[in-house]
Amino acid sequence: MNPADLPLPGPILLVEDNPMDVDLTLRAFARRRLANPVEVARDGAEALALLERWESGARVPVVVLLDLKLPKVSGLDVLARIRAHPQFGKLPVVVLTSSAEHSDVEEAYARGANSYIVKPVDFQKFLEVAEHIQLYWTVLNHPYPKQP
Amino acid sequence: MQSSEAIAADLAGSRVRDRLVTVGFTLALVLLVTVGWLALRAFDRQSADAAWARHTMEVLLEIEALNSNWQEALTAQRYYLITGEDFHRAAFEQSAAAARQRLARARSLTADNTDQQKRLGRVAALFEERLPRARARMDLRAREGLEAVRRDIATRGEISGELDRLIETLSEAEHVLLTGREAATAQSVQHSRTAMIAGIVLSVALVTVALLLLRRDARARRRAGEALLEANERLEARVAERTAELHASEQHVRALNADLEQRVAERTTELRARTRELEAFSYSVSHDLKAPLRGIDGYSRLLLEDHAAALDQEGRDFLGYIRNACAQMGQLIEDLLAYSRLERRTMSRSTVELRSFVDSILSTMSADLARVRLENEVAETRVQADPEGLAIAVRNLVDNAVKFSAAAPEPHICLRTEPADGACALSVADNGTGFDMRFVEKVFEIFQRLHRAEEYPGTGVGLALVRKAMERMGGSVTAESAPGRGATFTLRLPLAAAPTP
Repeated sequence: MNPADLPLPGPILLVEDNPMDVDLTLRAFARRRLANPVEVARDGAEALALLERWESGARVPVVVLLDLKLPKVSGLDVLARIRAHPQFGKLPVVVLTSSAEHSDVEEAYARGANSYIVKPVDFQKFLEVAEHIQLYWTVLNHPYPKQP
Repeated sequence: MQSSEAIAADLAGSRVRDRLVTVGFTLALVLLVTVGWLALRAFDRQSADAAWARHTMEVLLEIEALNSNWQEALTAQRYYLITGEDFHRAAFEQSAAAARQRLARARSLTADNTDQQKRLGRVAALFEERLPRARARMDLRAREGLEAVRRDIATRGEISGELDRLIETLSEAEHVLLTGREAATAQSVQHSRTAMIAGIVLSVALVTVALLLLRRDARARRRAGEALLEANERLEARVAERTAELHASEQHVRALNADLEQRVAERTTELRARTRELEAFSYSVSHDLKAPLRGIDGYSRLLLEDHAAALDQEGRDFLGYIRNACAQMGQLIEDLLAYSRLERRTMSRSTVELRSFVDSILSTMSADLARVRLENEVAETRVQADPEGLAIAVRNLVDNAVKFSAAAPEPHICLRTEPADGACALSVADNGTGFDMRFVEKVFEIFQRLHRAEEYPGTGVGLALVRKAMERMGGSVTAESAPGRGATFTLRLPLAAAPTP
């Protein structure tokens, strides 16, 4: 199967500041032969800047993988801004973070996260997580209808 | 300053004086009445005596008048006898009539005195006897002349004689009577006087004494009153003092309270700051500490997978160690976070049915329990607990039991409930390694391990988590063990109130 033969699947947006985590995540997705391109925002501000690009016609991701602890604008604020956006408010956002703190989980769901996943330390397990995310959100999940 | 005993003594003395004064005044009154009575009696007696003396004087006067009439009559007779002139005879008759009159008067005056009546009787008898004799002699003169009279007198004697003496005697007797009566009166008056003077003197003395006593009493009363006033003032002063003291101590207590409140507020603020710090710390740990580990583990794995050929066996072993260390570190961080979460989160207090609760926990651990003979004797019991904390406690105890009984030939774990003094005891027993009871306190301390990590892997947080969870929900955990004979951990939980229908 040649990926070039198929229509290009929607990108995945990874909002993550730790370069090692970015690298490992990209590698994990690459290992699982992920067809979707992965875009990376290195902090909250960059992620918010993307909203404007989407408004002006850039491809909107099928899912946002959002870290919570980010420089400049926190993950929770990014989430809130996405949810408040008239056009992209229904965009699936999966919180992917190290923290299993109750307060983080509660806040994330309170602001409209679709899912909350704790990044495992074990790389093997992380690979499994990456696979599940890809399968679920880019293949199984039926997204909200596109806005006109 | 006068003591209350002195006041009491004064008042007791005052009661005695009261009685004395009453007795004194009564006596004085009785004496005065007696003196009055005596005076009245002496006065009566005197006036009676005076009346009597007046009477006696009257009698005496009458008697003297009688005597003088009688002498006049005799004189008139003698003149007649000598002269024979008729007017002398008329004078005689006139005087005789006057004498008779006087006599009658004297007899009526002395009607109360028998002696005098007797004597006056005799005077009257003599008078009535001598009067005819005198007339007869005068008749003799008229008939026979002076010579015949002389002869008659010579033979028959004078007419007067006995009557004169009698009248004399009567007069004297009356005088003697008067004198005696006057003496008696004087004596009686003297006695009355003496008695009156004595009575008055005694009364005056008694009244004086009573007055003195009264004065003394009044003084004592005044002193007692003053002492009372003084005592009152002292009391009031003390009450005021006490009130001031109380007020001061109340102020002090208020100040202390305010201070305490201030300190509590400060502490609370401090604690809040600490909690915030702790939360920030945990937040950092949970977010930042695991990322490098993930890097180490990830790249180690990538090295092993993608560059295995570039490494010799030793290099590959090293990477294995690195990955093990990472896993351990990751677990340690997880446990630490779980421990700090237990510390920070608010416990709920709900009713938990132990049997189904334990069943559901065990069902999630079936993989770990595969090699173990499990005995579940947990009875249906409703307890009060924080479900999440209790789950942590039970899971850790079962984990622990599995871990330490793994080396036993037939690993065996038994869970059971027993009632314990209004609480429920849930025990987890194993037949594993056990431990020396000397270290019983250590097993519950965080990072304390009784065994080497190679023998029994773990972070040393599990039992600390159990204890923390139990303490926070108002329960407790205890352990019972001996080396080589397994261990029994017992959770104590308060029973839930009977469900209301």
